[in-house]
Amino acid sequence: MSDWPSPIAARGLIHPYTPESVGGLFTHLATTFTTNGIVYPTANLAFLFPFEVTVPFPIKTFWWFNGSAVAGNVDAAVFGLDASLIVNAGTTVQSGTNTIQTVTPTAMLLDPGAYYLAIAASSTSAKFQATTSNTAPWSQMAGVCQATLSGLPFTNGPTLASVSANTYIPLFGICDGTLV
Amino acid sequence: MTDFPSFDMQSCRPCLNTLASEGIGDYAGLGSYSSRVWSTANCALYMPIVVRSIYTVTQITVYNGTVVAGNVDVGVYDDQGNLLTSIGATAQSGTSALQTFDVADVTLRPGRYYVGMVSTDGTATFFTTIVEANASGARQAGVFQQTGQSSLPSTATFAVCTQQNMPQVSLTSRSFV
Repeated sequence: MSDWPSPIAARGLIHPYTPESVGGLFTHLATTFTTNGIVYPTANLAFLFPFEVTVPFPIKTFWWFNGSAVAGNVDAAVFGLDASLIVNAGTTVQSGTNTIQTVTPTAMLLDPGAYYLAIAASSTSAKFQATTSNTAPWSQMAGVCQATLSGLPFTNGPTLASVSANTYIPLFGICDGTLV
Repeated sequence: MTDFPSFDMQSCRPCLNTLASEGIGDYAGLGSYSSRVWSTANCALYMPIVVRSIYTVTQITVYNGTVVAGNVDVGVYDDQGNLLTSIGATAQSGTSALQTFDVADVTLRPGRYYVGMVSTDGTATFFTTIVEANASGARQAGVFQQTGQSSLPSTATFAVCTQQNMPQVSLTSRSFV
């Protein structure tokens, strides 16, 4: 038997509420999901949530949890900490209320490391299952940030900025399989 | 390619937090978050934080509560209690807001460190969680204290922690919080 440490298997889904991301902080807050979701606060404003993987993670599916209203387009992506675009879902018409919507991206294997998980929507009528942190400082101290986009889809190198006025935490993420 | 795991890449999230899983966040007995007083003036707290890969600290942020008073000092210690970087005693400023300190950059290798923090005024408030009433929660989480410090000492003397209020402090490796 090898003495090399075996890689610890990763959970199949990573999203802002998992320990790989900022969930470890927000689970202590009194956050609850509403039945119908929360509207996306600002069109084409991306939210980026830091996460880590300690073993190679194959991204096979992007997903987001739609609320009771769908509108416009959505994109989700993984960025490096330097804002380099690694892979994205592509501009996708938001479809299907109160259900998880999935997109199959170009196959990508994430090396162990830290990244940002990002989402943006083109319409403030779009709803996602989401909560809000108690105050923006909570999100800031968790490393959440934002980027103003000229439109979708995500492109390389958005300008990252402090999320000082937003507390929105949507339920979306990546999966290492095709079944979410 | 070597089979050895590499720790030289930065694989930590850009903000490390005393109340997240790398700090004491996974310990049972953490209560609700609220603005609470710094329990004892000049009592420094040393909160453990685990760094899993090379990480350069550029700023340290605290979350002030509803009342500001006195001076605050925050810094990072190695596991032997040696101060690696700190801001020095600085007037607490900005209620219910983050106060970010631009410390001298320090690069941390994987290991255990302590985030040190002290306030000179027992009426100063910070957003904290609260551990069990007998303060055993703080001890179970590996938090230490040191009384009689108006600023963080260059060498910490770890003592049993009797404080209940555990502040949220964030280490940052990027240019903004």
